[in-house]
Amino acid sequence: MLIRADDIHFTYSEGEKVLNGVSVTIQPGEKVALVGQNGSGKTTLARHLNGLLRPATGQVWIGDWLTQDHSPAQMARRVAYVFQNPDEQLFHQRVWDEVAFGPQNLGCSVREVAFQVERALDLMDLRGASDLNPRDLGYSGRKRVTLASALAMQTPIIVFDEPTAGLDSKEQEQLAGVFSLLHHQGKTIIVISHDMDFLIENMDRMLLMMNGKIALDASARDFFEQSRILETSGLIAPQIVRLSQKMGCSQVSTNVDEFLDNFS
Amino acid sequence: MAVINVQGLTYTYPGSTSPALKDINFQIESGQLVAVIGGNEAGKSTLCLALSGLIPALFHGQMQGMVTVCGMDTQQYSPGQFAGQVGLVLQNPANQLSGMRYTVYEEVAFGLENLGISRVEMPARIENALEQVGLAELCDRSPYALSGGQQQRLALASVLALTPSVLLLDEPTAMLDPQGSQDVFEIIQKLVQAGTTVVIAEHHLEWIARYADRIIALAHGEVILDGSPREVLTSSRIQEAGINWLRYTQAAHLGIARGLWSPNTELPITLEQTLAGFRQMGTTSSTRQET
Amino acid sequence: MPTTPTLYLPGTSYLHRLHPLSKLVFSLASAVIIFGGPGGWVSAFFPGLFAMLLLWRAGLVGEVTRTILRLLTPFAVVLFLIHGFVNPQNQTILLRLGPVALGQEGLNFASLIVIRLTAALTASLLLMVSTHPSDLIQSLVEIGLPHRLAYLLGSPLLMLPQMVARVQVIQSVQQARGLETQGNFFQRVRALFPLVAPLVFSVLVDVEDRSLALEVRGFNAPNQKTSLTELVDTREQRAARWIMIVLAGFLLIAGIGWRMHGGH
Repeated sequence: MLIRADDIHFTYSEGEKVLNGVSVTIQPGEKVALVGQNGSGKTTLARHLNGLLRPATGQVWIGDWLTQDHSPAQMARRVAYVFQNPDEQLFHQRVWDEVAFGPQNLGCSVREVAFQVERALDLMDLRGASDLNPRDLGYSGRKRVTLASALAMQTPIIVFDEPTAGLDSKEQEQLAGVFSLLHHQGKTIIVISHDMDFLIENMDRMLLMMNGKIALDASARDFFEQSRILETSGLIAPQIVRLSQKMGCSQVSTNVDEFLDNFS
Repeated sequence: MAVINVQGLTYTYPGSTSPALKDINFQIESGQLVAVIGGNEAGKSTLCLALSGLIPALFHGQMQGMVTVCGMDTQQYSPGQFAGQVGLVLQNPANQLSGMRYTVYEEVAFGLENLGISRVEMPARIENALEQVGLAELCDRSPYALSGGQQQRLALASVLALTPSVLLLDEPTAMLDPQGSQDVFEIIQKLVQAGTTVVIAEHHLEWIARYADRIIALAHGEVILDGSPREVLTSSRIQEAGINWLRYTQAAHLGIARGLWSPNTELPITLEQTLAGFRQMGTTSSTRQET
Repeated sequence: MPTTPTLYLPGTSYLHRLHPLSKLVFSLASAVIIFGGPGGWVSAFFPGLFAMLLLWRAGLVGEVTRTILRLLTPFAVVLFLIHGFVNPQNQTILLRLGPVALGQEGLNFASLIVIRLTAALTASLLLMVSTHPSDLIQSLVEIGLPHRLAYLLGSPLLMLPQMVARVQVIQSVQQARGLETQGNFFQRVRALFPLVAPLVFSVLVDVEDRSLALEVRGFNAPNQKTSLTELVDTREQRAARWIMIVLAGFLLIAGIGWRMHGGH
């Protein structure tokens, strides 16, 4: 499903301009990272995509829906959004019920709900935990419940806010696996993150936000070639990028294998 | 001299059947920067709490063995008595604000007031602590009007004003953006240079690789490795424990099979070591071709 | 993050320099006289007027008047309308508007309440605009309030804005999972649990965290606490406080006697 933001501006009630003319089109099936310092407007932009925020001027289209014509609850049919802090969303006594909450809200049949919940639990390696209380799980367990809750909604677009925060390397690899599966299903994945090492290996396109504008929009490889703009935006290039640049490779590598190929 | 001494520490939280820490033994020398790494649920936070004296005092779990910090046994002294000796900084900056003070300056004073520091002594200690974390200019701001990174530096200042000889940090940068993390790391480096003993649980391996004197790796509540950063971070055992190698280490390791990295060269953990290793192979192989 | 909800206006006037307890006793004594003293509106009018004069001398009267008008005007209008038209004691009819009539007795009653509230609000604002909340708490600790109780009294002021922000986040999270928070009564009630449960849980997590942070900063250290700011008290102020307490007690007894003889 196509996402199109058209010259959107946004100001919170405190008065500071947070989005200052953002236009962007995201094709179905893209894997897009939103990066930038805190306060640059990433989260504000992301919350425009599922209608939680509406632009002061400009328009956001999700497929043929204009976000301002739909409530956030309706927008949830098209865009799922995984928030950063699991403790601000979990409320059921059982993991299974928690994951079922989204599809139930969307009006899925009992059978459909059960099917989607089971699938999402499998994906996030939570099958064994389905009868546990989410609050008895560790932080990363609770985080995986929130990821499963979003996957179970079967939306064509999913936004992840800092999905790797608090996950250890094994769990991050698992998440990368889930991303590539979603990608093969044709879903659009949008990730807000500071974790450049994760982004360069898993995302196709990078959007850099600065002062409420998109300062750079490029493929992951081209993005990290622009070392000057990265410095001014306070981002630290991934290890593999610094390594290939210092080694004098003709082009930036996005993963270890590629680096070794380029190098030899 | 060992400022921290842990002997046979086993700890089980109340209501839990399996211990969160199992038979932990180590000593930490004064003035060192020691990093504690491990996957989720490995016991890093529990270890920080045990070293701060909050375990067992506040948690009422089952503790065996002994922990002494600055010569004080944590089972015999109350957390209040440790307050001037041991500082603890947690993950979430907002939760470390006292919620009782209206300016940054007053927030730093809160701990000094609790410890009964005299009023004449306070300004110098507060200003010094704020100076150390670079918040002197914001001293009249509300703590709640600061960014997350600034709040975390305030949490550090609040603890530093108490001049602890041991500083414990439990993933202090987990909730900060790159700039905020960088600021916190720089402050820690300066503190270590000035002689403070720092124990830090941290995910950011690249920084640890560069600055830690020693790394203790935990898995399932047990110490699986304890040694120099290069020994620990290039060991295959940390991968089994859920921690991936740095990309530098991975590149060199995979480079061995392709003849790009010498099997006799120790695997690298910093950019400089990696560059040197690859370049060395590059030059030897090119000289070989020439001859 | 919204800033703290406090009415305190920083300054150096003589009111600011008074000991917090003096102002606290003034506010409490005024309240006792206003609601308990004899003679109806007379007991309310004079403490209110006195407080206004004190505020005027400190240059704070403008701000306080604005606050009172903002808080009380809507309430006063409703009160006059209700008691003017539907008070059962209405006998003297001033104005007839079709089926309803405006009565003198109801208006008198409403005036009395408005005068009392205005006076009590003025007296308490005198304390609040000129006293830093933490100074007030400190003064209470100095006369023997346990520090844990002081914490319970003092911390909600600062933590409330954080809670409000969190409620908004939780609402966003659940809307993004398809929860309809608007709509009819049934939908709103259904939406309550997914909002309240995460709030309670995340607050509990925070409280535990915070208690650890407080503990390492010596909150329960065994020694005598000190304080950053010195609260200056004088013999005159101590005397004035006792006079105010005695006066309020005397007028309260007089007021009880007056009521027993038919006053109200």
